[in-house]
This record gives sequence, C-alpha cells and structure tokens, in this order.
Amino acid sequence: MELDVLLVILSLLLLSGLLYWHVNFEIPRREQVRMTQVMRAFSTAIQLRFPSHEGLSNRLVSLCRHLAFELNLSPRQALSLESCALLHDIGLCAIPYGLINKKPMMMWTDMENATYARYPDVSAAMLELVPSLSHLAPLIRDQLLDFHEELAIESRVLRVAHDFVWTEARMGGAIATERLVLGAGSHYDPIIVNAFLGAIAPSPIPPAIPVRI
Amino acid sequence: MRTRNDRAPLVLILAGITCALGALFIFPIRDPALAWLVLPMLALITEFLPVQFHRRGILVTFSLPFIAGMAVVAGVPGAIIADIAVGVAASAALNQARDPHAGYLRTVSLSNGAIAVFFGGAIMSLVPGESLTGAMMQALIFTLIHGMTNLLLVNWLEAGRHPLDLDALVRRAAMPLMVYCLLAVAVGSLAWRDAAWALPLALGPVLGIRAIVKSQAAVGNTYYEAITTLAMMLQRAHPYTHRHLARVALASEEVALRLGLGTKRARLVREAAILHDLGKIAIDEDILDKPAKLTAEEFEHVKLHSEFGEKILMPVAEFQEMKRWIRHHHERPDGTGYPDQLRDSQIPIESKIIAVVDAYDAMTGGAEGRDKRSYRDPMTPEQAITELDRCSGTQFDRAVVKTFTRVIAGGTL
Repeated sequence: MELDVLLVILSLLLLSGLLYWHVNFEIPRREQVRMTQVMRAFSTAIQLRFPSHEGLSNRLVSLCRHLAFELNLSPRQALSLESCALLHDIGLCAIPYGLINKKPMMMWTDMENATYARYPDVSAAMLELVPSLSHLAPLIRDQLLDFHEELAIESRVLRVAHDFVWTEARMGGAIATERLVLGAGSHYDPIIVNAFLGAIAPSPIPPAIPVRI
Repeated sequence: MRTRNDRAPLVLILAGITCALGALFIFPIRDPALAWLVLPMLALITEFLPVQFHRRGILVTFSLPFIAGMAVVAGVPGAIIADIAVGVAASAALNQARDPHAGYLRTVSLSNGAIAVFFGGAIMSLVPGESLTGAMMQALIFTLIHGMTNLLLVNWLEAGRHPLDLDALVRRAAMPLMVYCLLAVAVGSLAWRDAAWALPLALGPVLGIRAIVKSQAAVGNTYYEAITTLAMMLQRAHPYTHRHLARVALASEEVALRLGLGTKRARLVREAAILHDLGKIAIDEDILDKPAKLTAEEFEHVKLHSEFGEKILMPVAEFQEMKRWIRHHHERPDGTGYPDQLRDSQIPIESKIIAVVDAYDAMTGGAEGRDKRSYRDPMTPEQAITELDRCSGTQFDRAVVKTFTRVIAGGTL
C-alpha cells in the first residue's frame, strides 16, 4: 500500500474518532445544558406567578438529585427525574392567581383544593404537546399514584421528594418526615423513604422505622 | 423546500437542466475505474439517511464528498450523471414518486444539485488533476464551490422576495463545509489512487457529520418547542387568543423585513412578538380582565409584565437577544414609557415594531373584530391607523408606523 493512501486512511480514522467523541459526548452535554436552561425558564414563570412557591422547586430539584445518587439511578433516569422535578409544576399556571396569592390555603373550599390538586395532571397534559418533553408526561402524572411496583422509579422518587418539600413548607420538617414514615409502603416506596431518611433528613427520624421492605 | 417565490423553483429547474446538458457536452469524461461503481453506491447509502429541518422544510443529504470523488475520477459529466442517478434511485426507493409534492421537491433539489455540480466542476477544471496534489485540490475546490452554490440556492429559495442574510449563512455553514472539504479531499485522493476498497471508510465521518447536522435540527426543535410551551403557559394563565399572537407575530416579521432588518432578525422579531406578553403569566388575571379603567395600583402591577417577561427568558441562552426587546416593548419615544423610561434612540427598533403592531391589533381586535378587548368596542382599521398616526412620534416610532401603515394598505396581512 502506498504511503499517501495509508496517511489518508489514518486521517479518515482520526476524523471519525473526533466526530465520534463530539457526537457522543460534546453534543449530549450541550443538549442537556440547553434543556435545563429551557426548563429553568418554565420554572421561573411559575415562581413569578406564585412567589410563595419560590425556592420549593429548587429544593425539590436538589432533593431529587441527592436521591438519584443515593439510589444509584442511571444517568438517564437521574436526568429524567431532575427534568420531572423542574417541570412537574408548570401546570400551576392554570391555577387562578388569586387562589394561591390572596387566599390562605386553610380557607380553600373543597373545589379549590381539588383544582389545586390536579396541577400535575395539567403539567402532564401540557408536556404531552411538546415532542421533546412528552416522555416526561406519564412520569409526572404517575407521581399522584400511591406506591406500587409497576410505577417508574422516577415517579416514585418524585412522589416522596415532592410530598416532603410541600409538607415541610406548610408544616415543618418534623411533620413532613413523620408523614413519609407513616406512608412508607402504602403511599410511598419504602426503599426510597429509607434512602431519603438515611441520607437527607437523618436527625428527626424515630429509631425504628415502620417500613415494609 | 418551501418558498414564498413561486417562480424561483421553476427557474431553478430550467437552469438545472441546462447545466446538466451543458456539462455533458462541455467537459470530458475520463477512463472508467472501479471507483466509478463504488462512489455512487456510497452516495446512494447517504441519500437514505437524510436529516429533515421540519420548520424550514429542508431535507439535507450527505452525498457531496462522494460526488466530489466522482468529479475527480470520472470528470464533471460523471459527477452529474451519478448525482442525478443517485437522487432518482433514492426517490424511487423512498416512494417519493407517488407523492407529487415530494417528487416536485426532489426535482427542485436535483436541479439545484446539477447547477452546483456544473459550477463546482467548471472551477475545478481550471486546476490540472494529473498529480495526487492536483486531484486533492480539485476535490477541495469542487466541494467548496458546490457547497456554497447549493447553500446560496437553497437560501435564495427560502428567502423568496426578501434579501439573503449572507452573514448568518456564512456563520452557520462555515464549519460543516470545512469538514466536508477535508472529507472530500480524502475521498478524492483515494479515488484518484484507485484505492476503491478504502472508500467505504469515509462513511464514518459522513455519519458523524450527519449526527451533528441532526443535532442542529434538534436544537431548532427545542428552541421552537420552548417558545410553544411558554406561549401555552401564557394561554393557560390568561386566555389570550392564539389568533392575536399569530397576527402580531406575522405582522411584526413583515414590518421588520420592510425596515431592512434581514430575514434571520425578522424571524427573531416574529418569535419575540409571540412571547412579548409572556410576563403576564405573573399578573393577576382579575386585573387583566377587569372590564373598567384600572386603578393606579393595578396599573403598576400590570406594568411589571415587561420585566417579568425578561426574567422568564433570562436562563435560556437562545433568548438573550430577544429578552431586551420584550423588556422594552412598552417604552415610548417621548421617554414616558415603562419600565426604564428610555428615550427614542435608546429603544430597540424590534421593541418599537412589536409596540405598534400589538397596539393596532388590540385596537381592531383582529380583522373581524372577533378578539376585541373586554372593556371597549373594536375600532375599524382606518380608525386604528388614524390613532397610530396621532400618537406617532410620542407613543410610537414614526418610521415604524409609516411602514406598518404601508403593510396594512398593501393588504399583505
């Protein structure tokens, strides 16, 4: 084989290698950054509409990130969990402004409570219309369901983290933890509750954790 | 390819036929070699792996390095025959012939290819190809001229009657074209050396380029999906009519084009117009829908929406330019607007355009007055134009009002 042909072949292999790296590592990294930016924009819109929710979303995202690490989720599952945490409340834009900003939660009627409770469904319905995010819709919708083995791990983790953050904001960390413990096995996946309590909120846990594993 | 200029594709098809026939008679065809068989086969494989830019209606294929190789070993007629044969074979295999629209697009695309091969081949022929270096130079020149001609033609069709945004075009295409040129040099030299067995190795980089182009298409999709979702959130929070946003977007783009902003910038203005009231997500809908004059306190609350719009778009890199336009779409040339009381020259022209078009649409409630605001009856177009004229120079920019009036009078919308 002539030397120049060999050099050209080596150049082609080198070019293939560089493009392979770019396509498999650099492009996905950029895409992830871009998607996170977009999701942050959605989240900012909700926080501006309901300032009382400010910080909750960030806390939820950070808890989900911790739990993904603790539960040894795959990078793909961890990414979709974080995306769900960022997007699960975009449906709040359909909740009347006055309900959250002007009326204390204790004074809500049953109908108002029901309106509020269905916001993850609204979020899921909105995401279904967005091709690149539609795969997250069932995960967000299923976070409303009680624990059973068939639920995706992302929905189960989101349920635990979401309920903890919301109860903590309204009633404090101790009650939020207690509720998780009481609901483990029925409402919540006990393995996730255990991981949550062990790694994230160890102090207020009673010594014996009544969970079924 | 979607186009707003109906005659352009026809002109292109005629030019393509002329170039194809001209090339067969003007340029010599070289001695057959094994590469004559291998290169079209590789080109055909890449034709089955196109990337579609749905929004722009463009289908990108990746056969150019192999067509460049054909030009080097078989001459320009060989490259034209291979290009057309591969295109027709792919079209037949993909059943595009049964769909008249797909067949028409394929014809336009083949004509485009024939013109690009003709010009690439003509310039390439000026370089002697008797040595390996000459063959490499020929492949490089062919790819460069072919790529640039192709890009110009596609963008000419896309831009229709509006001027080409050459600056944006060069920035977008420079990197892929450079990689393409390197690849074509490799393919050309292997084909010239008759190392046909090594040519399939070029498929690796071609697939890499395809993945990069595909990711560019996906980036575009993410961007538009973000706009759609934000607009959807606004609709959910405040029942804006989709028609209002669509009309304001369309008219803003038209005015931007007429003011000479360029196609890419005009498209950005259209997208900003869709999102101009995004900040109203965070405004109390009871105030926005109030069927009476707002109190001072209520008006202060409503005024926050332009700042909120900017804040929402802040995290996204692609929105950096338009977030400023959205922040200032309620500024007035006389300096009494909000939120920053900017003076005339400080207000971005894009914000001025959105302000005029939005005001007109709000006054008229759309062409048939169906989307009237809750607190007043819609004006006729004539009354709304008179009102814009009256406020020209104080509330609205004079040049923008004048251009917008011409757009309305011309019945473009």
